[in-house]
Amino acid sequence: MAVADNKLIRLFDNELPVDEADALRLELSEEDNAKLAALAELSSSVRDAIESEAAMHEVDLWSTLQRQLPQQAPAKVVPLRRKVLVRTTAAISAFAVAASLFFALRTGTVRDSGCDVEELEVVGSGATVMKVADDRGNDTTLIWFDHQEEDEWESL
Amino acid sequence: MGEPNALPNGAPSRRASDPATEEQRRAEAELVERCRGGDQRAFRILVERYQRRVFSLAFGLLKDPDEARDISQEAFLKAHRHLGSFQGTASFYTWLYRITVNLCIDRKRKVGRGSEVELDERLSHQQVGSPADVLSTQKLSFNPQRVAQSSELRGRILAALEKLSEQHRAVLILREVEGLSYKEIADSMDCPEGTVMSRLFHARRQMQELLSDFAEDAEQEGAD
Repeated sequence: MAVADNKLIRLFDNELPVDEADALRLELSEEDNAKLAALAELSSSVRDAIESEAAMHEVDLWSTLQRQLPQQAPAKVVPLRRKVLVRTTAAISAFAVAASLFFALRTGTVRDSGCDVEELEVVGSGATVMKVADDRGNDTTLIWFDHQEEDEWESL
Repeated sequence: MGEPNALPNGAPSRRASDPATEEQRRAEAELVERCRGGDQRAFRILVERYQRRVFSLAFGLLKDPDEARDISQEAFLKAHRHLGSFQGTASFYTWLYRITVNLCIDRKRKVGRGSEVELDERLSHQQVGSPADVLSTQKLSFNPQRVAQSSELRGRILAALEKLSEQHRAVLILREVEGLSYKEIADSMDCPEGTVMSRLFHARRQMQELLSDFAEDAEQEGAD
């Protein structure tokens, strides 16, 4: 009985487990062998046609690439640990701001701070100081940090 | 006929689990790491190692040496630019091939030569279950030496390749010319292994069909 074509192709492509391939080779009919021979011939023809044609053309990419590469900065790699740290800090900070605002607005115990920030030092980020008034007239000072990376932000 | 599970040129198919491949992969990972650190000598090694293969792939897909050279160059530049996002779960070369295949498909679409891709793919899959969906036993009656020597034969084979959709052609070239495993082709084409098998089957079947007239011509010539 003839072997199914999909199995025959996997045998031809060396994609069957060794035991299965060995067992299958013992079962091959004349027709199966003819199909394998036709596949082998097609493979070599395609391979030889492309390689022979491609080999006629000079390929020296480095001389051109070399001139273009220095204009590019080396790929920036952000270590995973730093990414996680920044994102966790951002999430905690956002939560802290939300919680502060919630309690301030709810209890109304926040006194007018008048934005009494004595010193603000920001490295590698932008910061905005805001005075937020709730519906009872109480003010809250909000310091908002923006990281340089687009998708990462942090607020206090 | 050669061994069924060997490449036509007699070289065994490369497998991801081969020790040599594993060692090569480790060495390559080191080179990639050095490139990430801005080491241009390491990148030069990768370029010189793969430029011929990337060019052959692009040439097989585009059939134009100048375009193939442009695309190969663009593929290496893109690889260099995005080395930071290369995860290392796949080999560097399958990642590089993926970039090359995508650039070739984009180029063909831009110049309006890829409009028939989807139709082509749909048509070829409609043949599943039909008599055409069976591997041929017919030999093409030309040997590799003749292919290498005859530009007419090569022209006929390349013209037949041109009639396949980009996806079928890419899978066929990655398998027959580059000797990639199904898994590596799936990584390069960003598709499941089942899709690779299906495309490979249809690509081979279509090629056999497209070259069958040629086989008959060759037989006729032989009889004359």
